[in-house]
Formats: sequence, structure tokens, C-alpha cells
Amino acid sequence: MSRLKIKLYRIFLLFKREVREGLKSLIIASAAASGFLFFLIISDAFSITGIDHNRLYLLFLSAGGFIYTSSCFREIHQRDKNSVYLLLPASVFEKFLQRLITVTLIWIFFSLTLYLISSYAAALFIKYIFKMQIPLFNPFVSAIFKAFPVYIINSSLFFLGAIYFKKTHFFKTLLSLFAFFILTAIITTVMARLIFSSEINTVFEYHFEKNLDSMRFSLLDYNLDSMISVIFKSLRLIYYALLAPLFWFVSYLRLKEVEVRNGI
Amino acid sequence: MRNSNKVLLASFVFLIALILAFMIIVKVGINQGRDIKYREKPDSSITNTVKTALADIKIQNIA
Repeated sequence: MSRLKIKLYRIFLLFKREVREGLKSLIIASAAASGFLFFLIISDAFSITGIDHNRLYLLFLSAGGFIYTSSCFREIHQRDKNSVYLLLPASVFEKFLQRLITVTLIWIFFSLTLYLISSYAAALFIKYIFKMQIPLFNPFVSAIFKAFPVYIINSSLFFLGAIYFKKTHFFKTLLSLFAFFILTAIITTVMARLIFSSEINTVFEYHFEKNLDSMRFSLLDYNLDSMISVIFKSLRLIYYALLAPLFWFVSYLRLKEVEVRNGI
Repeated sequence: MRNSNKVLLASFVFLIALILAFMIIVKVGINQGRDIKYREKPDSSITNTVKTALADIKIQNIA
């Protein structure tokens, strides 16, 4: 059986197995999340700034999504459960795809539904108990839809973390991201100090203010803004087009390696 | 070294190379036929206008 061979029926069976085995936990988690959202919306409605459904929903989508994504491959690291999961009659790619769809598309739909129900319940509660009107949550706004791609891209980091680390996936992923940013910042600073040494020396020579002023005028003359905007556009393109596929690819490779390491 | 680690390492090296390339582009852009040292801050048009107005007032007073 080829590893990249996909059969939709097998993916459907994986979904069915997941729902059947995790239905009880799903109901408990949904009830807990709904209750938490219900009280969060009520407390936010009485705050000075008033309720902001978009902000609350995006917080719920991101925080809940990252925590959920971090634990989506927990069973492949558990000795008593990993062989059952890894020996299921589906290819690694199908298992990977099923979990990826669960933590991205299904989570987005699920979180939206959960928030919608909780917000309407909170609005009804406030209306009948406190005789107050609060604005209702409207999911069909551009701010919400623009956040979905950003969530999918960022969740790919936690998706890799879920496969990569054996325990405390969420915190280890956060720690790795922190270490990555620190390391990149140090390397970038050292490179900038070496490459722009003459410019930095000019600025700090003799009179700091005069040199900084002349440098600023000089750079404005030479259209540095357009150069920097091109760089930011390139970084934006890399973030939107390359980051998620890269992390999904590494996640897939890692899942194959885990299958070999743990499944045999 | 595992393949996943190799890909991650290669991506990190690529990112650093990309940042380096951007820095070199900016450096070349700054230095292309320019001397940024010791340039004086140019007078703005508003300063010139004020200076001219003050000079006109002085001439009128003298007259």
C-alpha cells in the first residue's frame, strides 16, 4: 500500500472511530467550554468597554485551538495506545490528513458554533434577568474570516509540536518558539552589526544627533521606504504561502518516523 | 539525523540566508553612489519664507 494513497472512505472511518471513542470527552469538553464562554460573555458585557464579540471569539479560537492542536497526537506517544492507533488499516498520510482537518476546518466550525450558542444563551440570560440588551454575535464579518487563515498557519506550529514532543506539547512548543526567536534575533543583530558597521559608526561618530539627522535625510532621499516595504511584502508572502506547508510537511515526516520508532 | 530534523535545520538556514540577502540589498541600496557622511540638514521652505519675511521687516524699519 502506497503511503500517499488516499481513500476518502478510510478517512471517514478514522473520523467515525475518533467520534465514537471520544464522544464522552467531546461532550464534557464542549459543555465546559460553553459554560466558560457563557460566564466570560456575561462578565465582559458588564465591563466598562462593553462586549466585543470579535475579540472574545478570536481569543477562544486561537487559545482553544492551539491547546487542542497540541494534544491531537497524544496517543502516539502513549505506550499502551500507540500500537493500536499506528496499526489501524489506514496510511500515515490518511491519519495525518484526518487529524489536520480536525484541528483546522472542524475546529473552526465547532468553535464558531459553540461561541454562537453560548453568546445567544448569554444574551437571553442578560435580557431576562437584568433587563439589558447586549449586541449579538455576528460571525459573518470580515474580521472573523480574515483571522481563519492566520489561525490555520499558526496552528501548524502546534501541530508539529504535537507530533514532535512526547509530553507537555503546548508548553514545549511555546518554549521552542521563544528559543527560535531569541536565536534568530541574536544572529540577525550580529549580522546587522557586521554589515552596517560603517553606517553605525557614522551615526555614533562625533555628534550623535547631527549624524542621525543627516543619515535620516540621506536615507529619505534614496527611497529606503520602498526597499523596506518590498522586504516586508516578501516576508508576508513567505508567512502566508510557505510557513504552513513547511510545518505540515515536517509533521508528516515526523509522523512516519514515529510510526517506525513506536509502532514496531 | 532524522529527515524531519534535517528539513527543519535547512529551513532555519534558509531563513538566515534570506535575512542576510535582505540586509545586503539594503546595504547596496544605501551605498549606491551616495555619501551619507557629513551632509547638512537642508533648509526647509518654511524656514526660508520666515527668513525672507524677517529680512523684509528689517528693510522696512530701516527705511
